[in-house]
Amino acid sequence: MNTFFYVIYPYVCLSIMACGLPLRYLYAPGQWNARSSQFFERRLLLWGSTMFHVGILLSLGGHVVGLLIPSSLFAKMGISHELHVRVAFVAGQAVAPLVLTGLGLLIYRRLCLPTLRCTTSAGDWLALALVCVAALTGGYQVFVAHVSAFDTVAPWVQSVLALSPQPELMREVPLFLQIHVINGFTLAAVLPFTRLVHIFSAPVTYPVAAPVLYRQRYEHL
Amino acid sequence: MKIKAQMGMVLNLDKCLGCHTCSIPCKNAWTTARGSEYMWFNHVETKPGVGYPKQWERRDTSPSGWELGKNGPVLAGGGKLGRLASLFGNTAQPGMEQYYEPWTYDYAHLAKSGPTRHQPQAEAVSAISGQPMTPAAGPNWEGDLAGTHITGLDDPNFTGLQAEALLRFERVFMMHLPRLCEHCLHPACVASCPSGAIYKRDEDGIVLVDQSRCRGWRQCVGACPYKKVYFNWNTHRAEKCLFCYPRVESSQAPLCAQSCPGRIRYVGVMLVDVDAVQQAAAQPEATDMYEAQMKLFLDPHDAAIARQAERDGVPHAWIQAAQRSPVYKLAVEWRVALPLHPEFRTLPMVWYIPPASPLNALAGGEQHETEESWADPDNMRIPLRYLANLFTAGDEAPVRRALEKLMALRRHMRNQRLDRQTQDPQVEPETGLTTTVAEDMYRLLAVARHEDRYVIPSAHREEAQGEDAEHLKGCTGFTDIHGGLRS
Ligand code: HEM
Ligand code: SF4
Ligand code: SF4
Repeated sequence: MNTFFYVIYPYVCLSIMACGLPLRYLYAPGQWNARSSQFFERRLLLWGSTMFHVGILLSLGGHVVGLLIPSSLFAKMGISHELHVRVAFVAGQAVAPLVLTGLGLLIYRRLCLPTLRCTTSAGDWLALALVCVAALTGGYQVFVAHVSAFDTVAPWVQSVLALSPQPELMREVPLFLQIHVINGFTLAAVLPFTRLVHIFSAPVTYPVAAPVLYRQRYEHL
Repeated sequence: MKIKAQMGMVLNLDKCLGCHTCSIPCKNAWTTARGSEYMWFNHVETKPGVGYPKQWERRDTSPSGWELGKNGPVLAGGGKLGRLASLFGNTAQPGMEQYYEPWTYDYAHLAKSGPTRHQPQAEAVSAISGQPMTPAAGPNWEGDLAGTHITGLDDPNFTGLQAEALLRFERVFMMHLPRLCEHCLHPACVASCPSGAIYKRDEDGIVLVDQSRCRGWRQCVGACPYKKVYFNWNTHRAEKCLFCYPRVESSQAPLCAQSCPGRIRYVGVMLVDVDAVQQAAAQPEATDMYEAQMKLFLDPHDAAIARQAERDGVPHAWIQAAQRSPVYKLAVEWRVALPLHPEFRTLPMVWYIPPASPLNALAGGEQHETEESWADPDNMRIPLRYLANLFTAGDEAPVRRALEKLMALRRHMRNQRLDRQTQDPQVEPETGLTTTVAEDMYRLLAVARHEDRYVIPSAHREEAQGEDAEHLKGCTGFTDIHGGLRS
């Protein structure tokens, strides 16, 4: 079991994502977008989506810093283990309510408005559900459980990325956190096939684009 | 100077019947699919009124188009960084309630219903959810002044006028305003698109959304001050009028123009100095925008201009078409066509000849119309100021000039019909109408044939670089809009 989830599964998920994204982009780019539903409802969306996204982007940033930078590096920078943990929890406690409230609003409007309900695809529900599991388990961690992950999950993630997975690091991790981790990799796997592909289209080049774009007629044929 | 060719259209509102024939072929050709039911690339509004989508002209509540910044025009709904910040929730996109919930009818019920005492009815059902609904808004909800005594009060074109008095039964006036994308020279939709999916075609200035690049951020929908980009809730991408480019490329008029039984539409090529566009859009006063745009239109009969255009890559046939362009004649030579809301600073390319209207009965008390007074634009039933608010940012002079010229033309033709000798070949010197101009105007405005109303040169595909015409033969139809690898 441990071997499957902490040795095989991550690579399966990451491979699906790595192959799925280009395949989807090349063969079915039609729905490569955020599938906006603002046309049907805007007030709740403006609040919900903004809170959710600000929160989720900050928390993604936090995950990158917390999981990918080895503790030894922090120690070298003079940041003690305790401080690191404290900062992580405080940041998490600031961000988690944003994500959870935002998600709540997003799910509420989808359930309550008939136009929205009938235009929500299975993929939309799947994406929302996975994000929801991630947010709930994450919230449980920062508000209730306070399990230190810096000597279990973080080194395991680093070991996975270094291509020499050490599943034994995950043995002592409580179930909710294991769910958080496995759910995260599942999210990566389904990402190419849902609206979540919009993450990769964030228009970062816009600030330097020409104000009015001219294009020749047949250039793109 | 850099010269490009630009497609333009003029609509003679004096002759618009308000028949909506134009909207029908357009809808049938482009917007019948699921998700696009509520899109009307062409629609006909009755003015006064709030129009479609509701309140599209109001820029105080939802900023759109351009405004004047310190160093030139800036997008009114926020600059580039502001737009990135509003990606998660786009404050400027109108919601469905500003358009309408598209509906159809439960026709199956008519066939399935058993014997009943009364005729079975086909109930209205939402085209989105299929649930029964009561239509409460539509693209033409104010058609022929329906409900305008209420909605008309919110018409921003009443600025400087007494809306309430003018909407009273004895004073009320009306006109039709067919609207389509303006294929602007300085399009706000293009500038607002974070993905670079909307572009202006180099060859003819037509503004298009590249469906394969659109990522559904919806910035264009809010940024267009004419609200002529629509969001497809099914494909989650933006769609807009394409000036029927597949037809235009083969010299055919767009469907709205082609189908118009009032023959009010004119399509032609203009030569434009694109290097001066930015500066033209940055006039300090909104009332200067009309003249500033006029300066961008270059005289195609000027040999130097024609030579420069050819050097800049405008095909010879296009320069010839520009010389015959009805749009150039109406807008520049005769100055009877005017832009719609030039104060939006997008430099629109669909222009309108303002409608004449009967003499306002209240204006002259008990007086009856005389041959002199029926031509007075200041006493027409549609207030001059109202037209000026629509077409010249409130400046009445250009509208008055255009109307005077049109009325002078009518007087001239009437005199001819009645066999009255006009003493002077300068029919109406003060309006700039000479006999030859009058004859030309009469021909184009009243009896012009198809080939004079639509002067559209064909596209020169064979000269397109890097294109193998033989390979493309037979495979240039519509690609699957869901994309996929192109062969
Ligand atoms: C990188 C920048 C991102 C941008 C610009 C962005 C933008 C958007 C937009 C415009 C929507 C559509 C909202 C609407 O209905 O109008 C959306 C929806 C959504 N986004 Fe993002 N997003 C980003 C990152 C993310 C990330 C990192 C996640 C999480 C993994 C995420 C998850 C979602 C989800 C689940 C929805 C659907 C919300 C719903 O149910 O309505 N997004 N996003
Ligand atoms: S009218 Fe609107 S959609 Fe059309 S070109 Fe102008 S800004 Fe773009
Ligand atoms: S533009 Fe032509 S087709 Fe459209 S409503 Fe006016 S007269 Fe009818």
